[in-house]
Amino acid sequence: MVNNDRAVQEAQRVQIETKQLLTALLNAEDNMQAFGLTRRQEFLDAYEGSLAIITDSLADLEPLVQDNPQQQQRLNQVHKLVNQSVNLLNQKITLQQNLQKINGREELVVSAVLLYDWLEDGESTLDATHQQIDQFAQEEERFLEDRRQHQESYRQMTWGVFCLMAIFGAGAGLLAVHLFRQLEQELAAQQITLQQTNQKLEQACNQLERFTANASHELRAPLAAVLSTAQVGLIDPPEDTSALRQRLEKIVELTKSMSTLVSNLLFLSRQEGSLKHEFLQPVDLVNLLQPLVQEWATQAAAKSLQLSSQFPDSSIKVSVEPALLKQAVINLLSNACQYAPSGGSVQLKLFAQATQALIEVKDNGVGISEQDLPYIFERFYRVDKNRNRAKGQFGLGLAIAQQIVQAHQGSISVTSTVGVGSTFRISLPLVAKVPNR
Amino acid sequence: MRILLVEDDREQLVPLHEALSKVGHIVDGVEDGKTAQWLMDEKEYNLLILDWMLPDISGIDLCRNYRQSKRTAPVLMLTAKDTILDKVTGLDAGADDYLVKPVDVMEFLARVRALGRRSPLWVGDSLSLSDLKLHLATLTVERQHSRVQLSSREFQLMEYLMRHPQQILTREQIELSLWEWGEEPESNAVATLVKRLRQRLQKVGAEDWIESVYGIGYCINGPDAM
Repeated sequence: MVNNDRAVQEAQRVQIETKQLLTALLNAEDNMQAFGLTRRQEFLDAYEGSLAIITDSLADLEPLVQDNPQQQQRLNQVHKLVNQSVNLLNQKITLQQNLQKINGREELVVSAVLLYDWLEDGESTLDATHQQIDQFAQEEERFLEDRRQHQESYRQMTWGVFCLMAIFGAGAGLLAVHLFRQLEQELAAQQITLQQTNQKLEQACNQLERFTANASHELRAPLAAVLSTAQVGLIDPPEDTSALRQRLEKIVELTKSMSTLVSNLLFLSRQEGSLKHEFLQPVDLVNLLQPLVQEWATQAAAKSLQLSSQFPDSSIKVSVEPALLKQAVINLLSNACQYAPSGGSVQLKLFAQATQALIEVKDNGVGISEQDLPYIFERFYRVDKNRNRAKGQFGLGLAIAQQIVQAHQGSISVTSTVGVGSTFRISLPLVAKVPNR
Repeated sequence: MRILLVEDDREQLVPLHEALSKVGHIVDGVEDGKTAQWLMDEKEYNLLILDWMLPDISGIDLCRNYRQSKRTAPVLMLTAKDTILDKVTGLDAGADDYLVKPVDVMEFLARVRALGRRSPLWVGDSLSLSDLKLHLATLTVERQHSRVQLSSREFQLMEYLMRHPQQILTREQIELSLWEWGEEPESNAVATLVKRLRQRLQKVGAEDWIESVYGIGYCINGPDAM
């Protein structure tokens, strides 16, 4: 690029210098002729000035064509011819001057025709010089044209490259923006996922915290009661045996209840996850659950509750651990009987849908409020916090029922309306749909 | 001392109530926060013993409310909540002591005695009137090298009378201060109790110290005043 630019500039300078040279040469000729005709000193001075310009131009041209051997050769030729021409001109001037001196003395008159011919003499050399200079100039012109074209094509190429780079740059920029956007979106998505995970963790953490607090409270309560009852008994006067007996009975009762609590807690922690296959056996739910109705009839009657049941005629086969599943249903029945009002009703219903066996326990009790519903399967959760701890009720029944059902690949759900009642539903996969299990 | 004991678990409330009564305290035992709040507002207690987790109003809130109403009687938190944070929260809510369940009854009673000593009304382990001394820790009356053991009920009456010497105390006053909240004394209950106490005091020659003021109530006087 830069080289090319310099070459163009040099070529332009060569042209100018060449023109100058040619003009100076022509001027020199003209002045020489004018001097010959007029013999006036001013023409001679102008002639000398033209010669100086010729010398300068030649000197200037020399370095400008240094990198072009052809032109250098031509320039040498021009140089030689110019020198010849200048010599010729010089000779003519010297001759004329000498002639003037002679003429000055003898007033010798030379005929104009003779003088003219003489002056015309050497014209061929001058013409050759002109031609050579012209050729040189043309050559340089061509060279300049070449260079210009080169320059133009270079420029176009440069422009092309520049445009390409601009397009590429813009493309890269757009790609970067796109990638950045994508990254941002991914980050945002990740943040949301993280937040959700955090929330879940926090919930789990809170649940665990509640469980620990409840468990410690529930375990300490009977212990505290046993300890203080026993110690107060020790303070009693020893002769008061009836009071002592009462206290001992209380301690036995408390210890039994605590033992139940401990077994329930152990059950919950041991039965986590699915049941192993060897514990499961094909069971007809109708056969398994029907006896419960008789067993619970007396308990229901004690609270003047109506216990009804609804069983299908055909058998419903599921793969379960019978004792465990029975316990889950018992827990639901016990809950229903506890919360149904005196004179209310409790219903146990068994039926099958496409792939599921469904066990429903329905009561017309107080119902469960919407804010309590999500928590009722949590260990130790009690809806009615004002209610004093009923005998043997720790708030673990539903948690145990849920765990049993989940261990059988089933699910437990509840629907409830405050003041109308609650329905708990256990859903278990039918045995036909779970072959080889 | 008159003590408010709040504990929602009856199984725990009863033995503690009994233990406190046996050593001569008059105890109002309640099982929920609402009743406790009402009693705290209505009555004066020398000590409050509060469980943390209670129905309606938690023990912590009861304690805060009590302190906010500028009452100064000591408060003892008795709870199953056992973390450092729980204890700090309890004490910062205004409790003077914090016990984690299950608690040893002996330690519990010692803490109650310790908190009793912090009361501005505390005058030592015994009350004196002339040459007669009532030992608060042992529920005994001592006079001229002879001693007599009182039952907790007799002791409560004796303590009440001796904290107000030479003052006529009406039967209503005695009933209010000696009978627990929710307990309805029989019409002649005070008279019967006074009669029993006089019998005890006979053993130290002080049976006539408790004077009946006809139609009004009773008054305790030393021999110098008579």
